[in-house]
Amino acid sequence: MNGRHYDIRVKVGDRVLVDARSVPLVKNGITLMFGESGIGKSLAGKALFGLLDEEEYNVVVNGESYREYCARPEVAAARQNGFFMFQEPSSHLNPLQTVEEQLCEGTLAEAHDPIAPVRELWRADDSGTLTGILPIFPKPYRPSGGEKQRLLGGMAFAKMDAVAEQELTDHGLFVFDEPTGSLDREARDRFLDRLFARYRRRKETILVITHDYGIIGYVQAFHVDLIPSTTFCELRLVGGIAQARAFEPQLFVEWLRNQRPQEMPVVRRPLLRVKSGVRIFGRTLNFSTPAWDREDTELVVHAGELVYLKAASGVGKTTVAKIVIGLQHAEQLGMEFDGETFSETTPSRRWQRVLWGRGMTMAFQHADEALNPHASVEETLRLLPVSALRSGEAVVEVLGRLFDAEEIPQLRGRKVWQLSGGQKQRLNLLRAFALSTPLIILDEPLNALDFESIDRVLALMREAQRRGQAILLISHNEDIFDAVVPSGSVYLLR
Amino acid sequence: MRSEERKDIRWALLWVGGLIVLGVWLLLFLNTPARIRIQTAFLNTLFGALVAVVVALFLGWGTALALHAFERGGKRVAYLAGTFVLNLFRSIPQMVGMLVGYAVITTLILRGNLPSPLVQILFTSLITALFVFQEVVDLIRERVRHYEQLEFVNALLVCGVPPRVIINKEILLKNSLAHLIQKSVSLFGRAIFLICSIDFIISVGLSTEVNLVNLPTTLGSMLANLDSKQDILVIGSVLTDPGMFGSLFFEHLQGLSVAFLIVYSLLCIHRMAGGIMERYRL
Repeated sequence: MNGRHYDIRVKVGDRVLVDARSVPLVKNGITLMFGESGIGKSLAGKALFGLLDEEEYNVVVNGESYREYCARPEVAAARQNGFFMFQEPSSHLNPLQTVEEQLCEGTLAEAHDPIAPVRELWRADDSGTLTGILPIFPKPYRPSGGEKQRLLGGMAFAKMDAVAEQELTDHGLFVFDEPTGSLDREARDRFLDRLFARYRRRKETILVITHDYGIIGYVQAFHVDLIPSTTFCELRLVGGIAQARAFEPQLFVEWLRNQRPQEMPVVRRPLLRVKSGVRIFGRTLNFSTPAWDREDTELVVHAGELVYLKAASGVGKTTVAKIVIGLQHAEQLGMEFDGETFSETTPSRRWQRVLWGRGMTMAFQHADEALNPHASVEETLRLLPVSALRSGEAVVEVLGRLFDAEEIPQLRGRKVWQLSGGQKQRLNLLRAFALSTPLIILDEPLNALDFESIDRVLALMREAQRRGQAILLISHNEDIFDAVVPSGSVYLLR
Repeated sequence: MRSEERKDIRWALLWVGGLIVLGVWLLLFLNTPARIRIQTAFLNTLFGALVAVVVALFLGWGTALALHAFERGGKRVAYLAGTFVLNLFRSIPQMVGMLVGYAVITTLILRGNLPSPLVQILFTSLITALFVFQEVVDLIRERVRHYEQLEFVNALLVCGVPPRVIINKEILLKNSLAHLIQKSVSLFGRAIFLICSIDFIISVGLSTEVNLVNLPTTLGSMLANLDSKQDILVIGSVLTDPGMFGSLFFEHLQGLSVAFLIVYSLLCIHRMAGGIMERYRL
């Protein structure tokens, strides 16, 4: 596969799915491709790998038909010796075979020990978990999202090992589509360490598609030797065309260094208190602060405070958010909001009457699922019980907080299903902020966003804090939020 | 849009086109009194079926929302009672139920409570709606249940949007309009079939009290008319005497036109409903 830039156009019938220009792919190098979701990064990656079905899609790569492109010897060899790690782990694993069978399937079996690379992705003291899931048939709920992602990462590594052990002359193309989306930082760093170690051993062509800009900081800090062979690029939608542009890693590092926590008011008024020991699905959830070294404590959110709730993937961060907001019933709940007590016996009507849209609101993790696909952008905001949003000017003002002024006129009438993933996420967040509730729960607010939007969202959060709104935050983007949230406002969920 | 995705529109145009061609033909070759009777019967049938669909939609929508409110509000007795009544209507065969309903209409007419044909048609539509509205209830409940499992309903709830707005506006109007239109078209065809069938049954003699004179003319009752029956019988004669084939289209128009209107309309409406399903992949 020649390292160069690619123009990729994918159509279904008359509908253009992707029109990506100048997508870089460095031969025997690492390409880190960032950008908001829904603009075609995954499809471009699949097109480059040769995965798309010619019957279904009309694909043109650098002016060549897809048949011609895929028939090129270097493309065929790159695919033969490479691996594509899918973004959605559930669609990659076969529910009719055990995990272990799949880890040793096909060319993966050519590796000396196909299970070993997977084991590397688990903590040494947690190897029992992997042993437990090897004999099972994958189901939607087990293994968890993070475990599935590690299994797929392990498969890719097994393939890299097999290619390296056979000392094949043709190098493979390894595409990792959002490989760390469901991983906590520790697991993500372990994944990156193992990937880069393999790259140092044998220079394959690696394309990592990700939203996690924190990877930049990690590479800068711990894998600086790889920077000369790494291309950082960002795909941005400009007039319907996804244009790939070089992304200066130092820009992100400097930006991160300049992030400061919002100053808290001198008099701190507790708004939300949740006691440890909440029981749900037979598990007990406890809060602790890093400073108190795992001693159970109460989760307390003060007015104007940004509180960051951290936990490993699958522990139940989103579940806690849903318990707090009353969408999930839990036992032994001890919660107080602005002087009102809520417990496991509190009827759900009370949450609805007192909290929803008045005391607190929540921006859900997946904007795709949280927005009505057949409502327009303007309808989505106007539906809110906020009288100020009845006027078109107010809607424009709200949209202007996260969207460019020139794109707003077109955007207002557009249906949600027509938006890119990043636009949906921004709308999802704006809806929560437009309500001006005393507490906002944000579940993965930086999902699907590009760098510019991340900066705007953080500004929006700071602005809300200045107005006295509190934010309870759940996020995998630890690199960013560790810089933004004071250590006294970080809680661990166990 | 590919042509196979426009089957509903194609069948709607075919239906209207067929009606226009038939209208012109009848204008040229059928005597005026008979033509006016056919027109009146056709319009009465369509109007009755249309009203039946509208009533079924309102009834179904209201019942579905009430059952949903009972279920979510923990009003178990009300929920069970509502479900029982609904299932009771469901358990009665539509044709039998409508015959009983017509018996009620007969009594009301005999007592002089339903003096005008318009009121009689409206009552007929109400009876028809009572035996088809369960499908609307099932559809709406299924749509609401499906969307309640999705995150967007929770997301709207925690924004303080009232549940009635979420159900009526966001789920039903914005996300289920195609389903409701398809169901309405399908019910329209069913209502035409039921009205024609029952009117035909009654007109051929189930009741000695009610006849063509005191019930509004519909395609069903027109089909049972003696002239129409003779026209239809001629079709059988054509099999033994093919020379009579040409006379079908000039001398036996009343019966043939009524039969054609019923069969052709039902076919086109059925295909339109199927076309909507295909177009929106329901």
